[in-house]
Amino acid sequence: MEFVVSNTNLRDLSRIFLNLSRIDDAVNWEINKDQLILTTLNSSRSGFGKVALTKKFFDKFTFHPDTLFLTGFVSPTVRLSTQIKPILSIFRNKIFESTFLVNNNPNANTGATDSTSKKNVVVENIQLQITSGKECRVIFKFNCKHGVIKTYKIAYEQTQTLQAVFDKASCHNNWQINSKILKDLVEHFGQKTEELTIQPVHGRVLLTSFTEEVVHNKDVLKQPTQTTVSIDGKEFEQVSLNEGVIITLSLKEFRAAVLLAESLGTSIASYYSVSGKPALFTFNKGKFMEVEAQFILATVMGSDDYDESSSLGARWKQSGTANSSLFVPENTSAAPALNEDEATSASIGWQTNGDAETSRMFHSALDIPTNEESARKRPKQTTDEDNRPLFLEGMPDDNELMAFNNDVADDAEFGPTQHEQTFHGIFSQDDTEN
Amino acid sequence: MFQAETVYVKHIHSTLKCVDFAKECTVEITNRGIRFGVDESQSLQAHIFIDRGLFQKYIFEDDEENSNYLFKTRLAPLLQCLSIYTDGKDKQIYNPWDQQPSTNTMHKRGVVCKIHFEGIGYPFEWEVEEMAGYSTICELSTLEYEENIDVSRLATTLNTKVIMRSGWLYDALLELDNNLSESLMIETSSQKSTFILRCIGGMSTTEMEYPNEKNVLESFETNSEYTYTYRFSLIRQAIKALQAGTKVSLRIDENGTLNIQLMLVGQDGLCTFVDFRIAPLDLMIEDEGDDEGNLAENGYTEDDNDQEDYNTEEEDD
Repeated sequence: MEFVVSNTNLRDLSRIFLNLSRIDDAVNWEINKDQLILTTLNSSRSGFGKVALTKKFFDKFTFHPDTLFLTGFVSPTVRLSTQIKPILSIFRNKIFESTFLVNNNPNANTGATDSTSKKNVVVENIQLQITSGKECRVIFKFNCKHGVIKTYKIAYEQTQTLQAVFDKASCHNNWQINSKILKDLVEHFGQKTEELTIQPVHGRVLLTSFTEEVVHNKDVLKQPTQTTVSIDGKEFEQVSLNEGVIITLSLKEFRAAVLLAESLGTSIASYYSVSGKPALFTFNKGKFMEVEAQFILATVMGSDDYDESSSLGARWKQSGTANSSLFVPENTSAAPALNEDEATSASIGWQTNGDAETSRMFHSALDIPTNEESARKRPKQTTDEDNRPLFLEGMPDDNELMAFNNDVADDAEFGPTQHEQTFHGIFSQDDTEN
Repeated sequence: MFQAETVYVKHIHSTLKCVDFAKECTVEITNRGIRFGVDESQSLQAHIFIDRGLFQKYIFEDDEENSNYLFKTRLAPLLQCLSIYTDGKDKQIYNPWDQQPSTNTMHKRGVVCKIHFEGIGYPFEWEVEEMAGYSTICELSTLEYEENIDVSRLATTLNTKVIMRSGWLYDALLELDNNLSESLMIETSSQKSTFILRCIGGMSTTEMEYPNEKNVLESFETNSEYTYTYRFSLIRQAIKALQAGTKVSLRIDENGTLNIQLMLVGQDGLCTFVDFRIAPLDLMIEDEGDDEGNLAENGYTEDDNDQEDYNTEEEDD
C-alpha cells in the first residue's frame, strides 16, 4: 500500500497531525480504497477528531492490503493505530516545497540564494507505506531535494476504531464563520483555560472562558479569570441559533479544531442542539473536498429549567452578509419567560451596587458591595462599541447566569466551594473580606 | 614560559565550547599552537587545535627538557570567563530562525585575550580585556599530565571518507536523536554511492540517506559496503560542536573508528579544527575482546609521532 503526498498538501498533512495531537497521543488510521481517515479520541471520550483524506489529496493512492489485515464487511478496510509523538517530531523543522518557493525572507542567512546553505533540506514529497508481517511499520519516506532521502519507520498496532455518532439533522443550532476570525479571538483565552461557553445574545455570539484558579498560598491576585469575547452576528457567514441555548465545551479540543481550520484556510461550521448533547465542528478544504474534518465535542449538561428556556428562546437566524435582526415578535414573547426566572435568581451571581445601569466588567475593591451573600460575579461585556447597553433590561440574562451557576455547581473543581467565596476582582486585597 | 595574545576571543570560545563535556582537559602547548584534548569513557576522544596563526603575539620559550608543556586542567571556568565577552547566543551565521540582534555590546569595541603560562606547576592564566576597561583574569590550576592510552588512533587504511556541510550533519543527528536509541549506524555503499545514517529506536526507526552529489556531499569515497555502529551517547557530544562548524569530514578506518573533523571558520577566515574520534561498537576484526585494549596495542607509537601525524592530517584538510 502506498500513498504519495506532495506540494501544499504536505503542509496540510503536518498541520493535521499537529492538531490531532492536541486531542490525544494516539492517532487511528482507517484506510479503504477511497480514502485515508485519521481519527483521535481523547482519553475521557469527550473529544473526537476525524480528518478524512480522499484519494485526490494524494498524488498516488494504491490500496492493496494484505488480506490478513482487512477488517470491515462493507468494504475492505485497514485499521491501525500509531503514537502521534514520533510523527510530530518527523514533521518538525521540515521545509516543504511550497513554503520554500515563497520564502523571500530578507533576514535569511547570508548565503540565502544558495539553497544548500539552508540548514534544512526542502522536502519534495512524502511517500507513505505500510508494511506488515514481521515488521509492522508505517513508513514515511521524505524525498528531499538533491536526492536526500529521510526514512522514518513507526510501529503501529491493529485496532478497532471508534466512530462518534452524530445526528446532524436534529441540530437546530448552527453557525459558520471564517476560521481566521475565530482563531484570533480564541487566542484571547489563556493557556490554562479549561472550558468555553458559547451563547448567542442579542445579535452577538459570546464566547466565555473560565480559567482554573491558581491557589498559591493565599495569593489572591490569581483568581479565576473569565474572558468573554463577543462576535457580531455580521461576522458570521451563517447563523441559525436559538437564543438561550448555551453550550459549554472543553477549550482544548475546540482550539484544535479552530487551529486546524485556520491553517487549512477554511471556514468552520458548527452544529449543536442543546447543552449536554455533543456539538459538531466541521470544515473541509479543496474543490473535491479532499480534506474533510469533523470534530465532535461533548458539551456540559445544563439544568432542566434551562432546557425549557431554550425552546422558548428567540430564534436568531442570519445568513450571508445580510444584516441580522432579532425576530422581534419572538423576542418580546420570550421576554416574560425570562423575567420570571429573573425574579427568582436575582440574588445569585450578580453583584450590583444597586445601580444596574452602571454594571461594570470588574469589581474593584473601592466598591462597597451591598449584597452580602454575593457569590460569584460574572464580568460580561455589558456595552458594545457605541456604549449602548447590550442588555435591554440592564440586567444580564439570568438564564445564562443560572446556567452558568449550574455549570459551576456541577463541576467538581469549581463547584460548591466557590459559592461561599466572595469573588474578588483583580484589584482586591485579601483583607477586605466582603 | 609561554605567552600569547589574541583578539579572536569569540572564535576561541566557540571552538572550546565544542569539547565542553568532560571534567578535565589535557592541554598541550607547543611551538605550533595550543592543543586541548578531552576523552570520555575511553571510547571517545576530542581534540582542538588552535594554531599559532590565530594569535597576534605568540612567544614560546623552550625549556631544556621540554619542547612542549603538557598538563591537565578544567575548561569550564575558562569557558565561563570567555562567555562574558561573547554573545549569549553563541551561534554562527547560518541560522535564520535563531538570529537575534546582538545584545552584548561589550565586545564591540574590541577584546584582547592574553594567555600566560610560566611552566609546569604554575597556573594557566588567561586575561581577557575589553577596550572600554573591563578585564577578567582567569587562573586555571593545573594538574599533572597522565598519559592516556590514545584510544582511537586512526589506522592508515581508511574505509570511508565523507566531507559534507556540518549543518546538514547536525540536522540529521538531531533528528536521529529523537529516537532515543542506543546506537547510531553508519552505512556506506560503494555501489549505490550513498551514505546512510540510521537509528533504531523503541517506537520508530529513522534513516537518512545522502546520495553522492556535489551539492550534498562535497566528497565521498568508500571502498566497502559496511555498516558501522557507534554508541549514540558519544555521538551526542559531537552534535553540539557540529552546530558551530562549517564543514565536517567523516572518516572511518578499517577498524571502524570514526573520526569526525570539524572545521570552524571564525573571524577573518581563520579556522580551527575540532577532532572527534569514536571507537565503534562492533569491530570488524574477529577479536571481540577488549576493543580499546586492542586498538592501543595495534601500532600505537609514542606521543610525539602521534602529534606529528595528527598535525599533518589536519594540513591535508
